[in-house]
Amino acid sequence: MDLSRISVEAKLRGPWEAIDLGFVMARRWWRPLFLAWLLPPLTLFLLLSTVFYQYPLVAYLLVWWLKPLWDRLPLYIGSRALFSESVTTKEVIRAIPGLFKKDLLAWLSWRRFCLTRSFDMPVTVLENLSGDQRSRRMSILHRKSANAATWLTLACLHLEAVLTFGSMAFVYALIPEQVEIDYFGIFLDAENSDITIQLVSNTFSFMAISLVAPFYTMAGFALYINRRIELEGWDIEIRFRHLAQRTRGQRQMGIKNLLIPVVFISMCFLTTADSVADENNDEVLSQKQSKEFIQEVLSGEDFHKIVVKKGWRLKSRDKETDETLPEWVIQVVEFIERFSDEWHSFNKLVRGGAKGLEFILWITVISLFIYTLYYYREGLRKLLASTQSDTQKVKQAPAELFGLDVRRESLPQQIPEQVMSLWHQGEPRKALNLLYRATLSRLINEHKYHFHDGNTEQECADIIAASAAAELTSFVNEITRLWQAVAYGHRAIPQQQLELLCQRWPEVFFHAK
Amino acid sequence: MYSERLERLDTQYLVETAEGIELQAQLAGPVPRALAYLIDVSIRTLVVMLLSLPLMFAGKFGTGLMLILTFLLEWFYPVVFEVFRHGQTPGKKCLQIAVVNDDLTPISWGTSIIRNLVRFADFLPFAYLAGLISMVLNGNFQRLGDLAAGTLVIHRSQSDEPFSLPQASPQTPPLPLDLEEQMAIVGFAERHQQLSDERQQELAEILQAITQRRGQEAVTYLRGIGAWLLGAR
Repeated sequence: MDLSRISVEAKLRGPWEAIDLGFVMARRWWRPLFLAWLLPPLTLFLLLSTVFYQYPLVAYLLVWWLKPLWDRLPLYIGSRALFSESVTTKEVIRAIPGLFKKDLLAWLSWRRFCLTRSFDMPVTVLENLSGDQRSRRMSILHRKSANAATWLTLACLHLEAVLTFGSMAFVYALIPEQVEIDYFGIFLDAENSDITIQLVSNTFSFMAISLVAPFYTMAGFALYINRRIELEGWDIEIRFRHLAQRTRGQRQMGIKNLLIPVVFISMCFLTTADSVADENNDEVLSQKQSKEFIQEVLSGEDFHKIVVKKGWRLKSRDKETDETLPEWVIQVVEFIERFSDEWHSFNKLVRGGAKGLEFILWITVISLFIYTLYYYREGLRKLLASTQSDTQKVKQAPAELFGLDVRRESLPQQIPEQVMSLWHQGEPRKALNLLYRATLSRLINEHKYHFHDGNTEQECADIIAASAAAELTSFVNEITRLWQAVAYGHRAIPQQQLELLCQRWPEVFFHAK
Repeated sequence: MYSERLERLDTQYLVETAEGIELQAQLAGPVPRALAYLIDVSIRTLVVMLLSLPLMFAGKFGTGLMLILTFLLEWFYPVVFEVFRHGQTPGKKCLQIAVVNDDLTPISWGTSIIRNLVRFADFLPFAYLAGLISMVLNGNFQRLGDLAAGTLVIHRSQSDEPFSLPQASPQTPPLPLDLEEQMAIVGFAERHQQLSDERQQELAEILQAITQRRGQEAVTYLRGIGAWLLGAR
């Protein structure tokens, strides 16, 4: 039993879901299951039908009684298919005597009417248990699924009946009335009637049970498998094995992984973004490679499928109705035209009074508007208050802009001195970072400029340029450009420029104050 | 690994929403659905019988009323329950299954009415034979009415029985675990009463390379990881 090759999803299911899974299994493996079930009883059925020609019921009853035997072949095939093993016809034929022999007497006598047959059968056929061992095993398996297994049997029994009578009714419905079949002669003529009725009903019943049997067997088998998944933790085993395999794979890669941090650190300051990504994860393809790969996939067959669909469908009529006016509009227009003369004279009459009427209407509209405002005064006041508080909220200074902390608390007291000392310590990037952050912080907290969280550096500079004094604008522009060059372009900072900025810093910010 | 999983047989139904969220449900097949129908039919028959008793004394008027009531019950019993009871008629509720649209949204008036009117076609030629055949052949267990309305019947199992976690001090996992692995370990801890002790040791020793432990110790350690994953610290 190699659980990694299991062909159903191993997980916990309720008994009803397990039965449904059995139906899916039977559908997937339909051909072998159906043939394996059908052929042995069909041979016997035909043989017995010819031998006991006078007593057709005997043939059917015998075949029906032996159903516990017939169920074993699909079960055998299903149990192999469950672990993705295919069986040849020869293997199946060779297995038949062994399969039929197991607990033969019990299954054909007192267990023939066992209501959980398809659920119990795997214990006999696949686990080879009998007697005490079997009953002990049964009691464990039955604890949860016996109810569903019983209902499964009852449901399949009725399915068989529905299929038998349904197919008979179907055939009967297809025979035209004009075809004069002597139903009376066939079914009620004393001489032949019994045999003919029984032959017809035997054939339909046999067809019905052979169609239902694979589903019944597989549904019972799925219930059994479901119980074992639950009791033995198959799903857990599969995942644990997967995890164990994964870690084994990782350990082999371990040495490779050790090298990566060393390379990473040494390249940290020099590399551009995508080469960093390269060292970070050795399995990731390079940019060029991945581009090529994407192109390859995109040009593949999956993205160039052309499907031609032919068939009848309703034509959309929306366009036509848009273009032509509906009937009733035309009628209304015609009506108005017809009575236009009358309208004209009516108009003349009214025009004199119309001026006064217009005045009254305007007064009404205005007073209605005022009344509405008055009526909803409370609501409007609340609305105004809420929008104000909204704007206040927005105006709260952002604590962070493009990843830089611009709170006043995060900055030291003496900005220019700190910046220059960082520069002399050999940390040019940090020095400029501090200066830029301090600039932003001052702009926000003292000059009350208002930036959104989402503004970029350039947008911030533009906001300043729009309303600030020339000196401040030029300072902000310069430092923004320098910061962009350093942060994104990885360019070196000229010392002069930084010193100049530091010198200008107090001037700019004290003057503007 | 993913393609391998796709091949495994399951009754699972997946829908991806526009937001990229994958919704899943377990489809319900002919047997539970037939049994649910059986319960509904019994309830309907019982109601009709109870109603017909007093109406018997009302003469022809009573018979007329009876027929109308029977008609309404036959055609609108499922519709009303499906729309107002989250897709569950009493029978479906017993079997813990429910009707939903095929994008797993709750069923609406229109779809419910369609699927229950097409019942007529499903019933042909005798006792839902067409419906049964359609259900067995269709990949989503849909009968003709379901196909017409675009609906599915899915399992909606109620919360499982409460479980008790075993006594184990929480342990940090020794390596990062993906979701499925976490679920397996949590399941291992949760199912400690169902799995036999020997089987638990066997399972735990699969992970010997990770846990560095054997036997009962490994079991306790894994239970500890399970408890940790469930939030115990």
